[in-house]
Amino acid sequence: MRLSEETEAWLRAGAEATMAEPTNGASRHFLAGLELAYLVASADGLAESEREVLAQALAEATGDVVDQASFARHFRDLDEAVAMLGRRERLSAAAAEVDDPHQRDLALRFAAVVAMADQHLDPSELAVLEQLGALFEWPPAKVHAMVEELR
Amino acid sequence: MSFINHLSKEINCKIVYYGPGLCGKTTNLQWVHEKTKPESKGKMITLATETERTLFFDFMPLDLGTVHGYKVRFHLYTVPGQVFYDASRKLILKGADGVIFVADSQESRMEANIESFENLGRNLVDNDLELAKLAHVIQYNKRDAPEAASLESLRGLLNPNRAPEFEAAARSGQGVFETLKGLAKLVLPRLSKPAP
Repeated sequence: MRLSEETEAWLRAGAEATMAEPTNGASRHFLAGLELAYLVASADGLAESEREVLAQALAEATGDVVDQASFARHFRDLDEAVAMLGRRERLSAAAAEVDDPHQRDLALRFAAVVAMADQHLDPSELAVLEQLGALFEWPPAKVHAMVEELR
Repeated sequence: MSFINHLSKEINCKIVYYGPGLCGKTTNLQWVHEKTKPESKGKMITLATETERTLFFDFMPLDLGTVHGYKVRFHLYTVPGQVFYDASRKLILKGADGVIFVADSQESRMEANIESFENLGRNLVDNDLELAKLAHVIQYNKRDAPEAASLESLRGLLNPNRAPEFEAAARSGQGVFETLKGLAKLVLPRLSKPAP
């Protein structure tokens, strides 16, 4: 998974904020960004091996501020959130937490990178990226251009 | 049923407002949203397609404290009462921790109340739930309406399980938080304990 330096810094700051005080601004953006990435990456299912790779990569990106086991457990928590509250509903609610254009840019790029961690972007994952783009007022062409840039 | 977010240290539970069209479900939600501090709530979201419409938001009541050391986040959901949206109403009940049945107190809406209450029972069964076993309260809304029915007649028709009941006039906020707190009292003791 190739994350930019800025994304890694954003992840680390968010992870530190979450461990200190889960309801502050940086933490809310971090948790929303994680959930959005999960929703995109799990659009075509999320196999155990994929979860393991993602949890390990995210733990490394945060400098182990949040460890691999905690990320793996977080994915299971998000499975339950989707089952209970609805996938479309969670996408809208998590997107609404990210209201700053720069944070939106970071969140969309992060979601795309996570979805492509297995070197493949399934059409169902791209469709969720487009839905997320629409919630952020990004036209589909801008989402596609971002995906091409990240490939 | 409730789920735990271990990273944010929150127990999340889902509350559904149910009732006939125009009984005041959305008004209840809007009142709670308006009166909750910005830092404790998410945005009010409306999801609409040709055949579905769902209104929801989440919030963390600060006065509740913690349960098993975790904060509690409520996700309040509603779906329009019109017959047209029955598929949405069924879906929305999935995983509900509690239901607030909002009845319209006006005599002329009695048939709609009964129809909606029966519809709730059927949709719960389709979700492997049963009203008698699910945390629920009844809100008799529009008590300020000139043709409001008596509490006895409403109770006889809409509260066979003798659930806690609340009178309300949601447009002025009367009884809105009392109803929600009444349900919270039933839901909280049933919440799952976080794994260590």
